[in-house]
Amino acid sequence: MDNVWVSSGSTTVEAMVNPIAAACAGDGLNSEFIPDTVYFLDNPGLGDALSDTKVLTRTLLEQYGVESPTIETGHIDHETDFQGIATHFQEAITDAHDAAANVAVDVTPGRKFMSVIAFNAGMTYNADHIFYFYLESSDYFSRIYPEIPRTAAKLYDFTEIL
Amino acid sequence: MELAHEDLVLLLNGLYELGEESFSVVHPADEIGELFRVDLGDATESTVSMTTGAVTYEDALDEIEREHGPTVRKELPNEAAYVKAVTASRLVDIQNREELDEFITRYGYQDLQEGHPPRYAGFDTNLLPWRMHDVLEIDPVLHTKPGGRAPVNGYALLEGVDSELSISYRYGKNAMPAAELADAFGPEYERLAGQPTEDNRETRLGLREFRRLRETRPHDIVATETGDTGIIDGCAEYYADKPTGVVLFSNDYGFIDEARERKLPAVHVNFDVDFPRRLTGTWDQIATLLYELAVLFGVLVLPRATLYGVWEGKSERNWKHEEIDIDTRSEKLAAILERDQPIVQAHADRQ
Repeated sequence: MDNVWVSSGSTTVEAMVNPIAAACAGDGLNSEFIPDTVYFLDNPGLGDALSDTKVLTRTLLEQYGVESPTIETGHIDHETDFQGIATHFQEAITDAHDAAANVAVDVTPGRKFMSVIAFNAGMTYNADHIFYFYLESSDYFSRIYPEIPRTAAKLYDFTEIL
Repeated sequence: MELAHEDLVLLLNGLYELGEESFSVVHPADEIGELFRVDLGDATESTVSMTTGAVTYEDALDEIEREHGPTVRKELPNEAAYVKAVTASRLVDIQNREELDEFITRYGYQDLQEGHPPRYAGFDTNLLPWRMHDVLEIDPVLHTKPGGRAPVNGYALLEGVDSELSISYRYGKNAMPAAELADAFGPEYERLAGQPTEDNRETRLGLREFRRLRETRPHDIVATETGDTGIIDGCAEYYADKPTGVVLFSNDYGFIDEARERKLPAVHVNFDVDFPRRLTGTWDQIATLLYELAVLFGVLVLPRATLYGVWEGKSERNWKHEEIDIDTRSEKLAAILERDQPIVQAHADRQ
């Protein structure tokens, strides 16, 4: 556990994978951030999106040289289980700190309240990075990162901006 | 490495990642040289500067003919095909856009909910290679308005056109020996052994379009003979007793006149004789430009990579998936493409 990525869940595969891909490529960052451990958050509304995302994330990380990525999935019974969402982020960050790993919180995917909770947890528990993947047009929503023109997307790190 | 047309943004991203934000696209023949220059900026407003316009290009072809003879010249697209290929990328527009828009407004946009009969578009052989479904902005999948009406509801796929596109490609039968082409244009052409000559590559683009529409869009297969009269007669007879209507498009005035005599709505598509020097468009349009010109010319040289639109052993499967072969001359670019392609593949596999 050197680099940890904590994300929530989304019905859109690309919203979960593309921020990780941009971080691996170092897009907009001073240096690349390639996680070897990734946490997602499942809830009953996501359908198959998360299982597809895990397969794709594994392929992505392997292509960036991570031999055996660890992909963990937290669960909540309902998407408005706010406490459950907060706990998901808090525990992942704390575990990463305990393992002396760098930890990044991704606020891109999920409902707005998930992003708010993720952002708050990232600030409160001192995540090393709080990432947001910005796409300049919805035309690219269904595309995977390598197929999005590089100038149309940018990864922001709120720990540097704010 | 083989990359499909739809994945060519990977190549653009790879070049961008390596700092090649501005690059030349060159034909290996000394007489031609730089065709255009790409500046990768805003994803929707990048610049393509056409160094070699159609008139300059025609002069280069004349020089090639003087140096190497008419057969060698025929291995390269003529100046009209050059303009049409650039038009197919949508970086330049067709010349009579207004007339075509009026025509489509008059005959298309059927209100199926109100019981209007569907309207299908039929393309003459001379338009099929140039991606007219998208260029004319009539495709029901790509260009249906938010209100719900499609410019046309599908395509009339004319068997005579299919035959004209199919009979003209002759793998390895009349192509020049690749060694001779390499002497004339550059060593890259050695890889074109056994591949169709340029005019046949043009018709292959048309055949691919025909089949793509057949595979992915609503359509009628219309039994017709070949030739203008055969195609139009077949089309008129087929639609005489059908509720579905048809509109025909051609780059041949004779075809249009004959269609109108048979009471079929038809319109001529005009291409400009040259294009403006400075074009602006999306990365996807630039990717299409690279694909079209790689096939027509056979070879395009970029920094760090040489693109082959045809190469020895190019298969039916390669044509079907609109693949070109990328010979990476840079290990770094090769590594980027080899890294990204499995990610794209994994994404495609789940859909």
